[in-house]
Amino acid sequence: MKRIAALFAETRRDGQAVFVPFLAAGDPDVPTATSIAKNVIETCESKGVPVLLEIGFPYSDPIADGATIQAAYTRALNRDLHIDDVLETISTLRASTEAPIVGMVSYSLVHRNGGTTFLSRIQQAGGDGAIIPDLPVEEAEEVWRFGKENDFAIVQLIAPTTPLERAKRILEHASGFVYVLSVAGITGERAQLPEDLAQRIETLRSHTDLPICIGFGISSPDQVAHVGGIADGVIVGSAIVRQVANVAPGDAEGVTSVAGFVSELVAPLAST
Amino acid sequence: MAVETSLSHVPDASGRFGPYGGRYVPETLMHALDQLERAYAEAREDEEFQRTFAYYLQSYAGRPNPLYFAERFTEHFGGARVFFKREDLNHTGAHKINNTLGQALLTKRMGKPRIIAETGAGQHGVASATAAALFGLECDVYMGSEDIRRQKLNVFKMRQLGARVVSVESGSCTLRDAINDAMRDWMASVETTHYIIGSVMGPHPFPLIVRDFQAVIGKEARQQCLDQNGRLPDVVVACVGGGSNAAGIFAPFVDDERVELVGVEAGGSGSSMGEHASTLSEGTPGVLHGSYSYVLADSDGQTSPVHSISAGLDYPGVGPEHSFWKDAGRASYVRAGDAEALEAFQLCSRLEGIIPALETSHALAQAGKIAAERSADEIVVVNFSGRGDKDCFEVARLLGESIDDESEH
Repeated sequence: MKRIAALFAETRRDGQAVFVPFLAAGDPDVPTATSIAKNVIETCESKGVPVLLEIGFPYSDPIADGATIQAAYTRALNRDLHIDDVLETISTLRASTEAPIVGMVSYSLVHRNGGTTFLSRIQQAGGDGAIIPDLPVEEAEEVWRFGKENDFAIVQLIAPTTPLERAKRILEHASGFVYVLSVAGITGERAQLPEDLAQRIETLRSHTDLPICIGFGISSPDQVAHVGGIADGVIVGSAIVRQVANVAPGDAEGVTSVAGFVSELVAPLAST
Repeated sequence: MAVETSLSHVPDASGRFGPYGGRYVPETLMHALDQLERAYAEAREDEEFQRTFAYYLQSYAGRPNPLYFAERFTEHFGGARVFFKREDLNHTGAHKINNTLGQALLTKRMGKPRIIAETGAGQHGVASATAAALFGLECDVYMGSEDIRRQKLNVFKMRQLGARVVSVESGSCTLRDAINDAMRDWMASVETTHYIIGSVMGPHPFPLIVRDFQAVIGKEARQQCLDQNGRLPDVVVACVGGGSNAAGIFAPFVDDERVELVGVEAGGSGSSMGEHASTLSEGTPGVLHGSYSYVLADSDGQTSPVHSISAGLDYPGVGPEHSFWKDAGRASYVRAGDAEALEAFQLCSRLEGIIPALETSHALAQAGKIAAERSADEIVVVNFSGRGDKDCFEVARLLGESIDDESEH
């Protein structure tokens, strides 16, 4: 959590936006996925783009995710990926980077693996927080308490369908940063982002000091530039995962090409 | 005493049946679920809505259907008297229509022009498409590509009824993936669309809504048993996949302490993971498709593959109220395997002249066993949840006969 707070304090001071790439652990296999993550982080940092990594725990029934991410999860699970492999990936990455890392993990997995005990395992591996996309505020009390007591970020989501009163309740308990969904629906690329996005962010800012990151549907450098102008962070998932889909296990060229794609995507966020 | 009362006063305000149920869904759906909860709470108290629902159940679906004394089936087992609650006689041939008529009326009431549904074998899909046609709603049905291939007749029926059948190509390409995709559609379309979930599962208030609409089965059966026999049954038996026909017949008997409630899960071809769909017998509590209930999952929490001869029972989860009844000891859950179901399918057809659905055949297999162990003055009621026309191709294949035109040319 300290890493998250420090990163956003710095970028806010410098008027920069953080790039938040999402990668599915174990896709196409554990070593290659780890190598992709390292390369993506290094690419961002070498261009002077602050980066926070969101790493997805593959789950068999991810109702919050679109087809691209589910396909990545299926690829990883078909190679017999286990929860321990994901934790291992996080510790391997932690050994080589100080970039904040948050796990994106379904409550189905959190529950089966011991609830808050599982969150502490993510933390021990070097994770700074967790996004549990299918755990709404009504069910989240135990998880929040763990987050507060252990300085572990519990990132909450706010959707376009979330009424303001409900958003306020969510913001009271959010920590780390707030994940604002640009559009209703699921993860995946969209040709256009809604016009009222900036207005929504402004409204939310009047109710929280937490950094606000925007995700869902962002896939082009132009969209990254646009969202980077109104939010503290830009989350890109499916567009990157789609690139990873072309990478075979151990394919060094493929790893480089994903990093190349990210390099173009983050160009508008580079410090000049 | 407090415990007895609470057994039939569930779910609580947060959608919990004891510890089970709740809402584990993305934030995008929370507002819609709140809206649905309010709309249903109003409809539940609205006499006009209830009258309209009762009207369609009667004049369109053909209710009340009989509680039929299965004399030759009874003689065959030589014990307790067995009665069939004839849900197979409903329009579309199964209990599913009770729920889709209710939810389609609720959709109209909420002013939404479109419904979506998931389907495995196609029964809920056909019942949804039927209700959509009846009330002039647009209808998309999500169905796994694997199931589309196996259930051509129902796919054809849905299209004739004006529905669009959306092929689901993700994950295992079966029912649970169809549910995932229906939920995804709903997240993006919630302003104009109602999701008619097909069983007593999913996030609150779905398990409540579906149970209430299906409870007409148990209310009728209870009254019919009193009228015909002057007393309540000793045992009520129903098959359990997601659990809607069982919840529908069990719920009105929950307060009748002396009536045993027996749910029959798909025992499939064996006890190893992947060979069956016995969620309550073999599973553990976990979260799947938006609610907390028993699930079949591996030690990491990944949903297990399931198998049953019956596509309608082939599901790795179960409605939260069944988990609650199981833990409270109010209902017991047992398994019947593929072979037992197939045998019951043939037996019932020959003894009673009624071809049962393969789902129903699981309940019949267990009902036969129970009847054989009991005395002639006891009464066993089986929820005869559906007719077997849809299963004839599959059963013929299993018996080594071919009735599929295509395969003969």
